[in-house]
Amino acid sequence: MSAFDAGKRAIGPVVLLLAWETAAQTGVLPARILAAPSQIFLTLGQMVASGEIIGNMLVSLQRVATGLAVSLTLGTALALAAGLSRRGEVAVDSTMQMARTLPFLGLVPLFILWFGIGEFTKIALIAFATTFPMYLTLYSGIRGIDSKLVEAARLFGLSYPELVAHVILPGALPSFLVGLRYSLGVGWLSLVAVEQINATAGLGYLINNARDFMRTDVIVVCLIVYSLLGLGTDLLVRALERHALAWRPSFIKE
Amino acid sequence: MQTLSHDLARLRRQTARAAQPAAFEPAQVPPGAAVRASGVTKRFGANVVLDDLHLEIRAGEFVALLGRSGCGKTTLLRALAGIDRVTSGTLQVPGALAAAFQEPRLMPWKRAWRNVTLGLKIDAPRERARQALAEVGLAHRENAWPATLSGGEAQRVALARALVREPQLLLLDEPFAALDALTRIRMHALILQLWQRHRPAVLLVTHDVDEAVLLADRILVLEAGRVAADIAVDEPPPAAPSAPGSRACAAACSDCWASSSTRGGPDMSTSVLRLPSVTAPAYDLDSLAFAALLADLSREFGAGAAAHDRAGSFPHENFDRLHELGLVSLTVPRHLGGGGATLAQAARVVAAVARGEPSTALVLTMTYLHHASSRNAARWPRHLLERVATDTVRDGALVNALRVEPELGTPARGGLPATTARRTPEGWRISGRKIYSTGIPRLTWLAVWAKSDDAEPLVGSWLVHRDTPGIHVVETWDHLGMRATGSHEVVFEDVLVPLDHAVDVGPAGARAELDPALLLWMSVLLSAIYDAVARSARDWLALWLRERVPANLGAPLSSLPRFQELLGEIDTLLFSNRTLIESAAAGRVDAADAFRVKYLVTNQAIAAVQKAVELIGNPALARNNPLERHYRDVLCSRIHTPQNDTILVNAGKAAFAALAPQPHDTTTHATST
Repeated sequence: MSAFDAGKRAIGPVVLLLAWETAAQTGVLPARILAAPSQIFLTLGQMVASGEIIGNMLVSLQRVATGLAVSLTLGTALALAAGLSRRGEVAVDSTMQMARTLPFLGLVPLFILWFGIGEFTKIALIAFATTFPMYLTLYSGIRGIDSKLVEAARLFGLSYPELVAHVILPGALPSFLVGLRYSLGVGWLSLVAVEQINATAGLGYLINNARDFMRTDVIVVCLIVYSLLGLGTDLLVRALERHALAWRPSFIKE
Repeated sequence: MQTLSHDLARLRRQTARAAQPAAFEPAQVPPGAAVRASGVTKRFGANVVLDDLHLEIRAGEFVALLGRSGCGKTTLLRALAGIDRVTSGTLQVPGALAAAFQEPRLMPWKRAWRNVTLGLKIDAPRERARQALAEVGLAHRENAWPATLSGGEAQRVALARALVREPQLLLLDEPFAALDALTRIRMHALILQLWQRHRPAVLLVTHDVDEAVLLADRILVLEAGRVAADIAVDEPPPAAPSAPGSRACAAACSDCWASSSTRGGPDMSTSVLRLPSVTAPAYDLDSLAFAALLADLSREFGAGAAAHDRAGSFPHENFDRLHELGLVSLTVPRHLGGGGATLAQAARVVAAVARGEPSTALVLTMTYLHHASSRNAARWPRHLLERVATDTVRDGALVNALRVEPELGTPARGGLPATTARRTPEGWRISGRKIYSTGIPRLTWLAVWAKSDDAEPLVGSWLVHRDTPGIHVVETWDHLGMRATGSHEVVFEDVLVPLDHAVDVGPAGARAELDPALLLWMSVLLSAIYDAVARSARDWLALWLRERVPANLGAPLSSLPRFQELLGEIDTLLFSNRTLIESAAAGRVDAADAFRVKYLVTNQAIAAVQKAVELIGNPALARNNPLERHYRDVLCSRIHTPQNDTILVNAGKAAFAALAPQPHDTTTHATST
């Protein structure tokens, strides 16, 4: 029954692929506009076999990972400061709320002027773009903790550090993980943008190169890799959620 | 614990700092007093919530604080807990205090036991948590996530969390308000039990007058930030249902409420629903509140019925619940501590239980019949009769007669039992086998039908305690229906009972007549069970017909005349059943006709379910639909003594006997035509 349903659902994409392939083979759709699906798969195979795609993918992955490591640290620290104390909120929150409205693509020229066109600019831009989702969700998670739970915890004798460890952080964890997923999405998005800046390796570099040679098949291959990477990291965070949020009704198995 | 007290003291010092004068040290609480508040005032801006309030609660006292929303009761409680500061006044509370709120306030990310020990720095916290959870009946849920607990369970975990701190003062802020009626009644019983065991002073904030009267030693009515009335409840809870004191007090509360309020008081016409304590089932069995409780019970038992049917497992939890509610001893006479219910009242309870889980109802019926039997009351030695009654009242002990044997079959058709009671100097030695021993997984007392080994054998019932050595259960019950009754085979091997346990025996020849009133009870209660099964089937069918929309019809089946006729026919059969049961239960049927009622009701119940099964076809036979279970259950109505043929043959004989003194007198016939 469900296999049959899945089969029915697959009809649409398969028809589209067939039409695309036919159009490409008959010349209606020239390769410089969009390569045929068969050509794309061929190219993918060649790029995997030559190690070209893996090597560039690892470079991109490293950029996102470094950028996220910075933003994770920074965003969490700022959110804790703003979420846990009134003074911290005054010092941090308004600045963050203003900065988050800056369109980060607009900052690219400034960052290039300040930091040059090297690796630092790329990572700094990714870190900048991903700090805000981390900060905002964790901050609202901490502030959204049920005050009744805090009250009960205080009444039952929890000290302030215990309150943070046993009530506030576990309570804010769901928001934190949402922020993490969101940051990852933004991270991949900004990667595409920053890798347009004078890159000599990475998926963005491959795309730029391919554009110059009108290799639409390579462009599509890179896009597929981007989406697979995004999907992969998202699955990773979901697995993390299932483990860390086992207490939530949606994850409870009984 | 030390750190806990320290933290609480710190919290309270914060309160005291704001208080004027700041005389606030736990050490200052005089001996014998748990709470002392004087001149407590709390203002939010211009709004005075507590107005020069004075209050004293003795150690171990249970005080209820009544008042409508916004009268300041929660503010007072929060001030006592040290959560909020008061504007002025003195508050003295003991060092060890704990609280439970309207919401359980469990940390969702901590398992139940970790919630219980939250913030405690003690050795072996898990052990302590387990003990506390066992006290509230949740030992088996120690590892549960709070999100998987029901409202009542979560609230019980919250209670365990409060009690594990061994508080001298327990603050309860409407902890039962969000619970359904049935759970609330159970929580009342639990809180009293825990209070009696630990004896903290309790301050219960509530807006429920019944609850306050039921639980508290003393009721304070708070009005506009002051104690408007201080009423001692002159009876110690739990108390008898119809005690005049409780009603008088409820009336007093309502008076002071009405007198000081500008708006109308709350609806005081609600009955004072008394606590169903184990020693005194205390309901108005004819009240709407009790009917609502029974409806809840049907739903609750219904949830587990399919699983018990599948596994053939015994519904122990249903009997735990029935005992908690004092319903196992419903027909035990009042002077022995039971409910002293009438037949009509017992039939309603049995029907409600059967609507949920009919096997439970059948086992329960057997215990009801025993206690309602005037024959037993007349013939059994008094001390044994009372012992069984006391066990039922105190422990929910079940009793049933074991009569059927593998060789003989049912003794109702005559014959002597093979089970023998041997007379020995130390007592009777009983040996034999009994089959269809309904309820044996939980029976405490067995009335074993046997014959003695005397030269002129005595035949009748010997009373045997289930725990006597030499009794073995062979799990043979694997029936089509009523699968959860645990009607297994029981083997007796030289089971020793005292001589006076031959509770109801007589010479073999002299067949003692059954008690006619009991025949009526038996017919009505058995009828009520199977009528309830048919009604469950009917309800499922009606909903199914309404929801089922076949694609080729485009409208629910209920729109077809064929199914309308079906439901009408079933409802008419059930109407006839209800009329029969009600009139028999009300005593409007002669005891001699009692079994005709059973015959009619059970046959009509079977007919009703059968029609449903026949007409809707395949879905009726699907095991994931309850209809096939109801059908299997209702078929078992045929197995109860006396069976249909006996009833009809006896009725026919009686009819012929009444026809004419001389059946061959043709002149009578001729003249009459």
